[in-house]
Amino acid sequence: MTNKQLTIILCGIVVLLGFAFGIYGHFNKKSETAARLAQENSSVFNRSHAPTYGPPEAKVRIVEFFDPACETCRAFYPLVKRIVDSHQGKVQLVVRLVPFHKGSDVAAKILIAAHKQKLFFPVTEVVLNSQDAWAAHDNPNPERIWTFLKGTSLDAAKAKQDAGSPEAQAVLDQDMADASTLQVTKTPGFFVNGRPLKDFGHEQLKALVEEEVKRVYAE
Amino acid sequence: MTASSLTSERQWTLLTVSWLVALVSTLGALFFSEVMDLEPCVLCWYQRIAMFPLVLILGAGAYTQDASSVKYALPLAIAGWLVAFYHCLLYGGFIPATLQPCGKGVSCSAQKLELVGFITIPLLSLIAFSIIVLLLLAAKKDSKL
Repeated sequence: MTNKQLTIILCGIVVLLGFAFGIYGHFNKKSETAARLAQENSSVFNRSHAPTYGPPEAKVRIVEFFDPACETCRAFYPLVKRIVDSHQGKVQLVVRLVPFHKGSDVAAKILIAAHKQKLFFPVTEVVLNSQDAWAAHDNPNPERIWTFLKGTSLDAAKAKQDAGSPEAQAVLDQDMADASTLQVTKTPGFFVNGRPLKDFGHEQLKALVEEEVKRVYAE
Repeated sequence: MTASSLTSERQWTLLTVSWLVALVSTLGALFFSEVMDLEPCVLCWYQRIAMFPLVLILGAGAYTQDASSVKYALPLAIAGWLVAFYHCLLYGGFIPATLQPCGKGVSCSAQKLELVGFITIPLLSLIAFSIIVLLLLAAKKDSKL
């Protein structure tokens, strides 16, 4: 190897190291900001309108910012449910609706209407299972959801009325405002007892929940 | 004249510096899109199409000290410069926004990032392409001598 080739390789390594350092710094800053925002705005985690899964007396609360049109939210849905189920009585899930995708706000309002009939989770399951049929990102058709809901016990006439009500819009606006306060720009966004999930992933979420369960229930 | 002529010292330095400019620009572009989540618009993609291969062409040219790499890199650099120039005009409002080629997706004329007040991403791109074109033109002059 000549000196020139060595120079090229060394230059390349230096630039790549700088790049890696930049990425590390950026994510570090971002997660610090997320944690600080969550701490400063802890009231946004206590919204009585939000649907919950799991016992209300649970001391560990997962807050999920959820978009019905988001594929990753669909993939996470059974996983999050399993995390709640596996910690008998100690963990509760709170769902906040943030329809970032086009047409997804219609779906979110249907879920809000379903929550009024205490059917949030069964309806969410139907909406997620039929996601491919209504949530194409370039051409969404959320009105199709109603046909898929025929098999559920949802009172469709009432739900349609509720979905179009200003209260449903207010719930959505509140959830979107809270997401914006916490700088949640991607779904699903998880907070466990107000602590943001820094490194996204199922295992990481499980670990964060377990950590909180150990901490809170050891006291 | 041989098919692939070895670079002179000066040519090699010019190649290496232009390679470094292309490398930093490429990684910078990836940082904006993948790390900071700024979605590239159509014009940004055309500039990327010109910039990304320059890293490999100039890198291979400098590594093997091949002077002919200049003539392969130069057209790419000039094409990228033209798109960057057009993009800057669009950004600066010198071309009416109605003429912009991107109908859907991310707007090419929306200001996303401004460093110290006036340095925008298209301007960074134009500066990078300008440096590369100038360095390569200087390197090309050497080949003729």
